Amino acid sequence: MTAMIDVQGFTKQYGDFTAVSGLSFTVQAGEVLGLVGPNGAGKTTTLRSIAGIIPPSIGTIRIAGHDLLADPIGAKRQLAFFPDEPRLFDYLTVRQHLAFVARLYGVIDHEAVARPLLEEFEIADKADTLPGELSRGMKQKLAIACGLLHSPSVMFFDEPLTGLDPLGIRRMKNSILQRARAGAAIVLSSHLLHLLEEVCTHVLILKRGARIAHGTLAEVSAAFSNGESGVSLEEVFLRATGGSEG
Amino acid sequence: MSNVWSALLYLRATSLCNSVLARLRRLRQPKYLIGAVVGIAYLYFFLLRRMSPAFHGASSGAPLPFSPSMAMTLAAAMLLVVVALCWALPRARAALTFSEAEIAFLFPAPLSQRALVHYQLIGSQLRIIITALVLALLSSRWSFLPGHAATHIVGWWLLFATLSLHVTGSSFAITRWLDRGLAAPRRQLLATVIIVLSAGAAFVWVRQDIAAAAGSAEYLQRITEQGPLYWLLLPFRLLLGPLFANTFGAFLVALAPALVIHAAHYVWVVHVNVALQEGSIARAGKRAELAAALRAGNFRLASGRRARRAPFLLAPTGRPEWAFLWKNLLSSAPYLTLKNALIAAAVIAAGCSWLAAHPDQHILQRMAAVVSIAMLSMLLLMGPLMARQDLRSDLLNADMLKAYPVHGRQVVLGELLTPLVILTVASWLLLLAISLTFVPPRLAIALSLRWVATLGLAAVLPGLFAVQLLVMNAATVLFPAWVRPSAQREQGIDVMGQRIFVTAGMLLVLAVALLPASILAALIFVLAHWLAGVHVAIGLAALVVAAVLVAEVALGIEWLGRRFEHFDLSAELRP
Ligand SMILES: Nc1ncnc2c1ncn2[C@@H]1O[C@H](COP(=O)(O)OP(=O)(O)OP(=O)(O)O)[C@@H](O)[C@H]1O
Ligand SMILES: [Mg+2]
Repeated sequence: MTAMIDVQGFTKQYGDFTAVSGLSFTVQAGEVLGLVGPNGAGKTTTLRSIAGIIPPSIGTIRIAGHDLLADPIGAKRQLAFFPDEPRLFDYLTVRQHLAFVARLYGVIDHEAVARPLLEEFEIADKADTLPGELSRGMKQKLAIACGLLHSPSVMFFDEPLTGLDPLGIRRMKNSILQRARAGAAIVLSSHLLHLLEEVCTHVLILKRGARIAHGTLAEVSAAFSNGESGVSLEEVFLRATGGSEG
Repeated sequence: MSNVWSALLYLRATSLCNSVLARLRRLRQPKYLIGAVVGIAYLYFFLLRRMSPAFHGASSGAPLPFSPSMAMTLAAAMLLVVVALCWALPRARAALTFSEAEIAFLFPAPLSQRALVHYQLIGSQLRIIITALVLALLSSRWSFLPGHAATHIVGWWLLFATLSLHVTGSSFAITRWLDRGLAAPRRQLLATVIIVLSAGAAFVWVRQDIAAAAGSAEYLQRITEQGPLYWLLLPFRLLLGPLFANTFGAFLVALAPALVIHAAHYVWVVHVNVALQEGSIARAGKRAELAAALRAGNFRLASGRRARRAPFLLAPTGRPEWAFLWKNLLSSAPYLTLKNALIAAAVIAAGCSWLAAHPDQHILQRMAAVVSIAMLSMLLLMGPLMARQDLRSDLLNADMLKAYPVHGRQVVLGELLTPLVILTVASWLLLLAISLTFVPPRLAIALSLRWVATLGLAAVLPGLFAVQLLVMNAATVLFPAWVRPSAQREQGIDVMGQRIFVTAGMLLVLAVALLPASILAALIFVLAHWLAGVHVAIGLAALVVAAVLVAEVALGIEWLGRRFEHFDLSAELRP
């Protein structure tokens, strides 16, 4: 079985600054990879590149078997990218956003798909409001609903949990788990490590654009546990990135 | 109270200062430096040319396009139209517009409404003063505008400051009426009725009391210098007085009434503003709650934006370009609908045919033709600058656009469609008016030929708009920092230089784009004229120009789409 996400030798340079260098990883269907690292480690850069928004300087990226450079449309049909700041069109209402996105992905029965999504995220009563009148969390929920509309099989979330209320976080977590069980491959970045622990099957720790650790949760904690048992991801993170207090 | 004023002034002054510093720092980037150099060079040569005696000699010999009094009458009439439109055009709810930071800092602060209104008024002064300076530089070369650069500065400032107060004041007054229950359709109806009635009255009066004059200029002079039109234009003439004064003494005399008009506007705007804000705050509950709501992202009161009805039903499958057209039409003004375009076409067709059928109205007919031709030329030159419902206003969403499963060229084409459609429809309406009213002097043209020429021009116009829109969108993608996809428009010498650059580039591209088209069209015209007559020749030539333009635009879109696929907004907008 081929990997849903296959990144080989990914390097991204901004001018002569190398933001990410030589990153390789794969994510299979049903796996959730947590991308963690200090501020400026290159998480957003990685996610934007593997979502086809900025071209990599070096490296190949395959999404569900489609090469992102050779067949961007085929790859993008399979994926959904959720940026850290929700980006919405100022003049489109919630409903119009969904109609627009549905057309771009050719989702025929989009109203039937959208209704439960809006209800799940509790913004159904805002269907005719403009983004300017939504709260930040609601905007984020709308952006997520837009991304889930075409039932993507590959999803990239950049800090999906910041800004959501506790119920929203719970729903988001369940939604991610449920979609992974249904066979989606998911990569998400977050600083909320205790939440990542609950949804991720794998973690990848980045620092200054380089990979420090990668593997299942158990493998990564084993690598940094110094023989202790039950070490939290937070402790692993601090040890791995050299910021440990102890 | 004086603390508050000094704090607000401090905020305005430091913001200005820091923005100048940031701009200077930006000059380290070559593309900004080029912009600044072009801008400064432009201003310098402008001033130098103006100062040199050789230039003055050249300009005094040039024939006058208008006499000063004629120019003033035309300007006053134009102001009358602008002011009438202020009250008649449908507009969104008025509100003082504050940035997010201003809301966060100023709203919870112990400031009176009056102070906030003044803060806003000071903010708009900078723009007005710069406009006045630039226009004074330009206008001191205009032969039909007497006076001196210094009096022009004051004159332009008075004009724009008062006009800006009028625009703000009218929008606040309208919003207040709305709040008191006068619905928008009724207001528009009222304004339309008033305009139609006064136009009718003026028309009847003109027909009865004014003897026909030989030239249309003389005729215009006669209508506007007696009777009701004189009184209607009087306030506008008074406001224009300082600008048109030819001696310093006359300037001082004209200054007094203009200042009175300005002061009255100021008092009025502060009054309606304060009344409206207090009203809206009373409705929104306590002020702190309002501030909290605004900070939580509820900009309803601040933005005053309303959702538009979908322009057409968007089917869930089909070409993605239409989805962009649909989306961007939603961001255009609500009166830009197909229905209104059809109504306008019907009104133009009926009105102009009536004029053409009544030879005793030939002066009105000629005026309609001149105005339509002038408006079409304006639209061709300025339209693509003003209709910005394309990548220029969507650049901040570039990340999202690039994540969609569509090719770059599809995004570019889709984004171009909305301004293209709006400009094309507007230009076709004007073309309709021209074709019905324009009679070329000393040249009898058969009706059939006239229609062939009109249709030919109609086929070429979209291509002309498309080339210009393509250049502007290309400039946006190649130099996003020039276009600054932020809420407020950037100003300053460097930005001016960049604009000159883009405009010059646009004219160049337009010329280059038209060159092969015109050569080919000329060949075809000669050939077809010889073989099949002038009708076929004109039609074929127009089709060829249109086809060549379309082909060029298609190539441009392909190229720009590729550029867009490699575009990274975050990398481009770094300071
Ligand atoms: N457009 C750009 N141009 C130049 N450098 C950039 C650009 N975007 C990001 N960088 C740099 O690349 C590095 C990685 O940035 P990135 O946004 O990927 O970090 P991150 O891991 O997402 O951080 P955070 O946790 O703060 O979100 C940083 O050093 C940043 O300064
Ligand atoms: Mg980030």
